[in-house]
Amino acid sequence: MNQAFFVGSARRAVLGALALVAAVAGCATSKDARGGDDVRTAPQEPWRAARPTPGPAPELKLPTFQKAELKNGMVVILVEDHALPTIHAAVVVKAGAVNDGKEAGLASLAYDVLDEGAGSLNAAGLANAFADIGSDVEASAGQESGAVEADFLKKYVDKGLELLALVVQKPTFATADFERVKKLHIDALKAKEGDPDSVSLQVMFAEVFGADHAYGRPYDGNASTVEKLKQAAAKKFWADFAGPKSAALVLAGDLTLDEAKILAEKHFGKWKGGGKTQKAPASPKAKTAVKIYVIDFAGAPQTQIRVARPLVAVGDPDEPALTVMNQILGGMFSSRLNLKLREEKQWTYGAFSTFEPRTGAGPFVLGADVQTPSTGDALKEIFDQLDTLKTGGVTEAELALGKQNFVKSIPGLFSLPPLQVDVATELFALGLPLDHYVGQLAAVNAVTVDAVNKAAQRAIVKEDFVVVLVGDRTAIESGLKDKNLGELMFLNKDGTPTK
Amino acid sequence: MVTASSGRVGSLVSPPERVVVIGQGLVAAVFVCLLGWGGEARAAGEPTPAGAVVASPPPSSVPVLGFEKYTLDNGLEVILHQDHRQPYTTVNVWYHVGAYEEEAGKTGFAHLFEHLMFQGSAHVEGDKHFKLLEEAGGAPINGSTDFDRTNYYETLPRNELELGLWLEADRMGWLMESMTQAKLDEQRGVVKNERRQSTEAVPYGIAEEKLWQAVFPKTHPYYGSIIGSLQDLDAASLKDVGAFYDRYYAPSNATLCLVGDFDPAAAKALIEKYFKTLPKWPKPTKRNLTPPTLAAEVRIDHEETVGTVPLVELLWLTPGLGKPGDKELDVLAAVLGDGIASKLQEALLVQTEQAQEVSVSQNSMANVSAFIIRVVVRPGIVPDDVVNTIQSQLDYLNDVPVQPEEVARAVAQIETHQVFGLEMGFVRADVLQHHNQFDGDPGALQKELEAYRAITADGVMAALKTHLPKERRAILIARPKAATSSSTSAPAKENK
Repeated sequence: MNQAFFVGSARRAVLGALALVAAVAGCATSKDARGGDDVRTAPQEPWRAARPTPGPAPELKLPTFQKAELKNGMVVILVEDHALPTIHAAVVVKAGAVNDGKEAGLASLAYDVLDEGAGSLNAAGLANAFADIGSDVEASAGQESGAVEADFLKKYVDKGLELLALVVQKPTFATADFERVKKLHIDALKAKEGDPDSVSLQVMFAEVFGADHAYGRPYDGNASTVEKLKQAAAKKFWADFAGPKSAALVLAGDLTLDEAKILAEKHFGKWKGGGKTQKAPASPKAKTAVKIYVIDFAGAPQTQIRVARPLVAVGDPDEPALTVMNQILGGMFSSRLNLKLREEKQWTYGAFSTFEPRTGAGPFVLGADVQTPSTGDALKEIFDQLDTLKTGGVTEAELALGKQNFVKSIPGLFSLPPLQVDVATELFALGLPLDHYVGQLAAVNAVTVDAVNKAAQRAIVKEDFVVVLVGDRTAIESGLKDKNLGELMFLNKDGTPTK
Repeated sequence: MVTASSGRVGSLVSPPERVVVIGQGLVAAVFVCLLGWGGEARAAGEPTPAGAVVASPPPSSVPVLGFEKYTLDNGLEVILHQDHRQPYTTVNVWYHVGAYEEEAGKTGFAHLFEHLMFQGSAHVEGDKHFKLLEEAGGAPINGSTDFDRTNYYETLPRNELELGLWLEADRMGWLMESMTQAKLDEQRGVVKNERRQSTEAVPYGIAEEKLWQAVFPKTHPYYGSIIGSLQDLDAASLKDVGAFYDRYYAPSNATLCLVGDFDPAAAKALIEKYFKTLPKWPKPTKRNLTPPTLAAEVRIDHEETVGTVPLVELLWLTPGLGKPGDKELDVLAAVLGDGIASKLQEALLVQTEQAQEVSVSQNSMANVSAFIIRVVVRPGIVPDDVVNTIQSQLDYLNDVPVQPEEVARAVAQIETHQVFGLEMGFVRADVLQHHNQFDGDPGALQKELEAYRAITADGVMAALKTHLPKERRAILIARPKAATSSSTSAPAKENK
């Protein structure tokens, strides 16, 4: 069976094409390049030179999340949409990689084993039960939460929710299935060792938060930690943390709230237990000097630069101002970092910044993948841009553009039922109100230049930044030493220290 | 998979689509099929009783698609489908040209056009096409090339529909006016980079290309995948490019489809404004090529430099899109490879633990299709043992044939894909276009499901026996360079 997977790759192709061609001047000529007589010539119509004038922009509509609560405390969230007889369903549980404790990779593995049998059904039986209604089930863990998801047609909603409920309430965690899936995890983790992207992330989070911090561990563990995981631990993880008080049933599609409540009560109303909560991870101690970690990938054609520190937790009153500041710094195409590093210097295809509020203070990361010879200059330029923003502030024009860009990005989050499920899932997992984005839009629109400048003081604390460079050490080392931007630490391809 | 920029999705069991729609009186339509829902879809409020086993399948949930189709004097087909849920409209153009139209020595042109079409036309300078769409809030903005068609589309806020029509008309009529040698050279360079990224730098990209080229004769247009030969692209002159454009990118070889939130009368007026004066040009006829077959087993052994574990792939050339056997093989692909309880996933992931990933697909293309079993092998497993496991599962079906409930399961999945696929407007446009080009009826989605529902277990077994014989399979084994010695010497401990 073929699904329409071509969309993404084709788009990348187009974007890639545009990037590489950005330098070509528009060189339209009036001469037709074909020559010859038998050519299809369109008429001369000079009026076509004008871009059509758009009408008034349509109003932005955000969908409404409806909410109900079952007697056992489980939350039900619904986005009603009767256009098609489809249902997207997810059970989100507030337990993810942060609940791993010392067993890095436990949540990731536990969720993955969840759909390998439940109640009286073994792995094949469960898969067939979903397949009989044209559906399948997928469970996966994230940083702060995890979800078990299935899509089915409206005519199968009762059976679909019955099966979903079975998976979260009576997972088997059979030893054979656990060991089989564990082997696949270990294979996959081994394959990632030596992959520049994953080594870079691992080193960055470990240095920013500390190797034992909930946000400092790789969320899916590594081969040696997963090797030690026991089936009993996965079972206990689920029994401790999953339960009606820490979970929500998120639905999008062809249901009314009344239908959703009746179905939820029928299938999830008897769920008991679990619900153990995890405190939000504490903020790590602030650092006092910039450290630059150079991970050596000999022969790499470009250097991955990442500059990071912890910033804010969800619900922080500065989030709207930080959002606008981040847009201006590196959150949009016309951001300062991108205009400087990509457009002016042409060192990179793109520079960015981003921050992610979590239940505890989450990461603020900026960077770019730059041509090897420009590594030192690019890092210096990034620090200069941070200094300039902190000392010089932003302009009214930048403020307006930053706000506008953020506001424009919001409708895309809600454009389709599966995305609506993702948004609701995330809001629940982070303990945010369901109208969070409505509030954010208003708050961002109210942000002033002064507020952005204050946010920059808070976000840009130079000595607290960790720098991670992944590239060819011999080609970049001397350039870095010349710039004298911080203490250089050298690491092998696998992330282990070297001289 | 052997793919060029866009992946070769020929048949799409269900490029989705959906409905909603329209409702007002439609005038002036050559072909009007009325909207609304299948009766059952609306009545689906009642949950089925818990635990009920699906004995006979419930009524189809595939909605009736409402659309209007008409043709301009210059041959441009227009399909309009309204969906007012969100204030957006997708403008989608299919050119009925793909790699299939390319001649030996001139491969890669259809895909090259996917690039050139974004580089400006007489009234739209340089890279403005993309920039204007982006500024207008267009997303997604895209194009893709397949063996049998090429598509271009943009989803825009309702008030920018005219921008999309203006841009599409300009590149349909005035592309060559702004074409230059420099642009052509530039895009050839981009395509080479794309080949590096999508084929050479991707795990098993080169290996899968080798397999593909081993099953198609050099003279067959599918041989070059979609991206074509770099030598052919280097040899292409502006004149060649112009001739290809004149022939295949004329209104008579294109279909414009709008899906979304628009007023039909206003949209028709705009379509007339922008497309009516494009000159009429003869519609090219499709070549009638005999589908190739494999006379004997083909085997490719490849030393893999990107992937870190072995890959095993089995391929058969099978009936083209919509030909007898094509749909049965879609069902068989699901029975063999969809879900942990499917035959090959169970054998390779659970019983022998030889594999990391298993996928099976009937890749439907108009002239001939490719049935592919693809297995990413676990470290330390001998790839030939995987081939044996696969073949023994296929052979075992002679003793214990495919069961009706397995067919029902596969068809239930197809129905799900069809209906869910209708959620996104820009995909729905492709569904209408797909059925328009291949079935001559944009609204053929329901008929398609009925055809799947009519498939029997015997029919699936007959397709297996006829189209997937052991002696006409092609085998690819890609072994990572470093692991070559260890994986061939290590005993396959769990192999039974």
